[in-house]
Amino acid sequence: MNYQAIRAAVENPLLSAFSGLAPAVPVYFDNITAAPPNTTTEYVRVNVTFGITNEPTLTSSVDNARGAIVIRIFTEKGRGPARNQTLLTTAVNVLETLNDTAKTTSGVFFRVGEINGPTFSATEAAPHFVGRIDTSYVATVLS
Amino acid sequence: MARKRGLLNELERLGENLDRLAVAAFSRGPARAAEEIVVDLQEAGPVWSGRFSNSWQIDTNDGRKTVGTGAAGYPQRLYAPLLSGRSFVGDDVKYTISNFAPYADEARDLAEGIFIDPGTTPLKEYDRGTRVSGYRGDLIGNDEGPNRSTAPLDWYTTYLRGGAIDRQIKLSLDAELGRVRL
Repeated sequence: MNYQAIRAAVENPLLSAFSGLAPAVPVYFDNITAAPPNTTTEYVRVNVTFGITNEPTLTSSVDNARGAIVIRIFTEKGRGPARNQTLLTTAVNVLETLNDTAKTTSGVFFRVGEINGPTFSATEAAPHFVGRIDTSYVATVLS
Repeated sequence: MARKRGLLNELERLGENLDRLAVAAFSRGPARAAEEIVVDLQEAGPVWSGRFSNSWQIDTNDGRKTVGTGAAGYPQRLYAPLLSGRSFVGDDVKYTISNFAPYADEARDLAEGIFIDPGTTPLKEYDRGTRVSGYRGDLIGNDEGPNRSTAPLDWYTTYLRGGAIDRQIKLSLDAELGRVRL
């Protein structure tokens, strides 16, 4: 099982998409970098979790992992949802594009399930308006 | 004549066993799955005072329910109500599992919250760190941090979407069906 390859399959396209925006929006992943506590600038937080590492499939391969992807978009509070929803659209587009990727003979074959959300929240104490989506994924390591 | 009666008895016994199989498959199996899912959620989720863990409830589609105590203390097992005959009709959802704690969304990392350390020791092991955002489990890990968390960020979404709930349902149904001898 190649956990890093599975992470890369979803993290790299998200990083590219948000880096390509003008202005670029920083993306923070699990235990790589972290947004400064109580920062007021906008950012994206992506959490990739593993639920099941392997399960029998119809083929001989058991390198078939399942898990969840949670994406949180933090934008300025008190300015309406437009900016947040624009960034959410970027994230959703990336997830949907993953499902269009053809299956090859090596690497990781990655598919996401239905996307839940977005749900929005803002609290008095936190400086951001947050949009949140989550989805399931199935990733098969082919090599 | 005796042979015919013996055959009828066997058929009657087979019918009874099939009834038992149906009850196991359609009533006890799903009930057991619902109970075990609550156990999984209690184990995976945060346990500080225990109120959140004891606030799960299981509802059937015909209006019966089992409700947790909502009290502090170690998580208590919930026993699901069995489905009635009429609740089998239709292909709607048979069991609904929910949590009635007023801060259930915050505990499940679905919404931001304001967290105040009560100064007590949680019932479950915890991680210490500095909370980055308004999400309960969003901690930067460092031993000196001011915040504590008794479950990892997104524990609930991971259980729900990561396949563990499907596996639990399968295991529970298999276990109940395995008890039936035809």
